Amino acid sequence: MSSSKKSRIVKFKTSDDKTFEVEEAVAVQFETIKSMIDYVCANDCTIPLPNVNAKTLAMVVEWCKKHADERDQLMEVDVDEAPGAVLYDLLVAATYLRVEDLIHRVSQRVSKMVIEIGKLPEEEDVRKTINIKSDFPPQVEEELRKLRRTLGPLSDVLVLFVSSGLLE
Amino acid sequence: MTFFFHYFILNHLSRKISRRSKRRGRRSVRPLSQTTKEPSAAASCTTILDLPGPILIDILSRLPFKSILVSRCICTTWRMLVSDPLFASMHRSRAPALELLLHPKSVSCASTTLHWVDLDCIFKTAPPVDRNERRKTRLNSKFYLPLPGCNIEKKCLNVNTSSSRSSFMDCYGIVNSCNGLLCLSEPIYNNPHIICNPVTGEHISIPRSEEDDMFCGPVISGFGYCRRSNKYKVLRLVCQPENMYQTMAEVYTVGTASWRSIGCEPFDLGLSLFTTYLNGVVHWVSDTANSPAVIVAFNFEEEQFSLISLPPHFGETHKEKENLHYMNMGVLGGCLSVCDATFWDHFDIWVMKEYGDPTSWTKEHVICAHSGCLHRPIKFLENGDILMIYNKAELVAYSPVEGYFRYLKIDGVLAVFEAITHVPSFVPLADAVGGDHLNVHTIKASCSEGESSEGTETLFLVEQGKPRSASKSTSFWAVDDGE
Repeated sequence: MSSSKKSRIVKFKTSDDKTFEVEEAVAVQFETIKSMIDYVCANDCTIPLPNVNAKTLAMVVEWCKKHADERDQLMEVDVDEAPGAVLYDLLVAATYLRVEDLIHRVSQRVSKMVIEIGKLPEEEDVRKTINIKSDFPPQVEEELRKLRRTLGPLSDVLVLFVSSGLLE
Repeated sequence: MTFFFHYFILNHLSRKISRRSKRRGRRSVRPLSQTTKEPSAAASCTTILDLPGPILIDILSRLPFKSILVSRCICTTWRMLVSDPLFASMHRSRAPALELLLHPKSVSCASTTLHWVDLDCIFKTAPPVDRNERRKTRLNSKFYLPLPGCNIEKKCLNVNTSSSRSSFMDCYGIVNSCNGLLCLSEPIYNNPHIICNPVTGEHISIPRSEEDDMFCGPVISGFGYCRRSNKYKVLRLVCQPENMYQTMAEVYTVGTASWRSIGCEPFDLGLSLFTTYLNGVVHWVSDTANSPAVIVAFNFEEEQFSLISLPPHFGETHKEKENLHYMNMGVLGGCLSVCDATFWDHFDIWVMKEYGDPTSWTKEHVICAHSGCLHRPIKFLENGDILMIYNKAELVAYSPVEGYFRYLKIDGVLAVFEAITHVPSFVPLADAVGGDHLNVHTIKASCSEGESSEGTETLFLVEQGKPRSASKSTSFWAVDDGE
């Protein structure tokens, strides 16, 4: 970007139908958008983001505005407060816009979360925590329950369960 | 709009920061069980399954071994992701930690079960303080090895599950571990016969020929990986009946049809001890009648044998032959290492700092212990402690800084165990080894049908009392404990 040029504005429309104006300096960090900025600005287009909502885009923009050292701090804050869903939204958005550093940082954070989840005693707790449902056949579910009764905590059962080939 | 957005961000972040500062110093990661109880908009919005596949694989590949296994049992999507080749390669690229597997094995019988030791969990728990307290930890995580003669037949598998312990006649021995794969050898003559990945249960057979039954004496073998050609190879040293006094070396490249001879083994290994694999080379300590003890190495890439000298003082007369069983060899911190226990009051751990350079042998640790039995170093724990197996029956963590030991007795049906260090791999066996002559089988050791935990062999780790200090040890204390 040449400093002589006036900073341009890139417009986005989020999934919840809000229009966002983002400075070019930030927008160029979106790898997906980068190459089309010239065209978009010249023609006054709005870029639709069908799977990014306003709240998430705001977070992504905030991230991109920060310098590397401040990002650490921002991430730390978000890490402590953000429930899973916020992180997932952020990750989906970062992936869609291709902000590599953000993808990396959020992935790291989510894996930390999954490690914690893995320590829960029952697989149903795990599923509840990450808000997904089991889609195993009932006999597999029953097997898992039986194993847990005899062997104790879930995480110990699983190795046996996995190597037993029940799920193949 | 922009105004709204700035207002939102400022408000949002400042609130977080103020809360954060209050909480700082307590815990950095909030327990997840709490995060969901919060009445958030989470119910209606994104779940972890909405993440793009490659991203989710990236996340899962960062998990420790145990969590990966947990994630396989959450739903079919996760299970598929963990079986994905991208997952396997990502997991491998993250340099997964060295895991410890215990294999119950005595002179007369061995188990078909490998017991995984969750070192993180066990050694992060403080030892019991009270001298009389016994803490028993059950090792529930097991992997199964295939049984000889029945790769796929159902009836044999039933035998397997009813008694996981087998007599020496019908169980495989473990040659060595390499990149997440184990090479298994037949009973009695130790002829290498199976390559398996215990984590995925996949295994393939090494072709046999009729001459395989006519070897004179046990076979010496090793299993390794060639980085340049991306091939796995098995080496065996055999005595043919027609030439009893000459050991022949044969190599099998995994995925090909047969063994091929690479000529005579030049160094007359004699009794080969302590098979140790490191970076494409397998090593043994040679024990021959006339020459001083030496390390014989075989490079799988070049298919060449070479000699590596032991630490300087091993040439002394008292180190020879009869004392060889008071030493051992292994890999410690990525270096070839030799443990010398020929002294009555201590043992030395030597490390070859620069691989292949005998002048780089360094005496890294001198550990005072009136044991009389052998400590075999396994690996460094996260906090710098050295994990060892003592007398094939106890796990020992030794802290070089504070000079104390923690002994955890391994309790099982069999009394002696071999410790196998293994880097788990999720790469499908066919992808890992390549080649045309592959017939991959999967172990299906059913654990259903009313089989209780007593049906399979269970190991416990028993820890008692206070950790013992090395320097203040009274003589032979090791004997009175754990009994």
